[in-house]
Amino acid sequence: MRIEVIKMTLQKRENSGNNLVPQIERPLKIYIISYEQLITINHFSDKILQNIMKYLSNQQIKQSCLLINKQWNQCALEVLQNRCPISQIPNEILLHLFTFYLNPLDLLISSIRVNKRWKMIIKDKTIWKIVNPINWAKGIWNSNIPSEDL
Amino acid sequence: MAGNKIKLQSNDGDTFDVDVEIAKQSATIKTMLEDLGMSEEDDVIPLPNVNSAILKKVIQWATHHKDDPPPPEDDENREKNLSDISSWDQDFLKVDQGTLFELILAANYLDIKGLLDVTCKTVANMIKGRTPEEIRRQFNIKNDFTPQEEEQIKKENEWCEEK
Repeated sequence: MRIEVIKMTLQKRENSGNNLVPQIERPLKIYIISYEQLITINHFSDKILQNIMKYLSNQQIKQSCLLINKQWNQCALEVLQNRCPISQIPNEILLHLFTFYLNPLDLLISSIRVNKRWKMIIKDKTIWKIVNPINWAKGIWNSNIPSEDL
Repeated sequence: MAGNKIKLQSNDGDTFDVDVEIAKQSATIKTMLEDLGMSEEDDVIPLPNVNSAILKKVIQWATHHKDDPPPPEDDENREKNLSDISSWDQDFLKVDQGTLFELILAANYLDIKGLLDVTCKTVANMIKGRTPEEIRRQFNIKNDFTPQEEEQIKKENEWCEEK
């Protein structure tokens, strides 16, 4: 039953094209799969296995997937290699980073163009609580305090 | 009071003996001990979100910084000085990106302001002054914009490049 769910979700994803992957509901069931359940899944292709493993944490992969069999081991190694560690950081923490550690120029000139997720976070209104176009026009980007108070 | 120890347990089951004063740099643990009235002899504090390797690093960091003054409140009005990282911290953070981001997650979960601050600074330094393409390469991020979308965002934000 559980396996069916995984297959369906993956199919849905494959049909809808690769660039839509992040928008589609995650197959949450995968998170609670146990070692015993894992070893009953014998018929997945490498590609599907790797897709499943993408939703597991590094630690889960290292603790179980690597040890199951040769196929799983290879897929797990591949997934760990391709993994993009920053993608595992929740939006709230990235928002904190963008708010307190980068200035509006950094964000608008470059970070906002990195990918859709970064753009979505940077457009969050909490970053733009204080806007200071007067300073910005003077090329002062590192402070949101109006220039007369500096 | 001095010399009291507590046991912290990582999510892979290892326990670590840590001085209470060192552990209390984590506001999460401090709250557990003080507000919830856990006594220090109570068995162990489980930390289900932190694995052994990361917990070991966090304890190492907290031990080195045990005599630091408490960090100031975040000031929203001012960008932080990114070059202000001690050389010990710089060496401490010479780790692979996976570890760096796991440290950020642990610092956030354990609520250790100083560690979150220095790890965020390190990441911000990897972003600052780079082009979008350089940032993508740096973090292995896939560009999911179409060329049209990319052009559009570039246009929207052109005004700040004019100087």
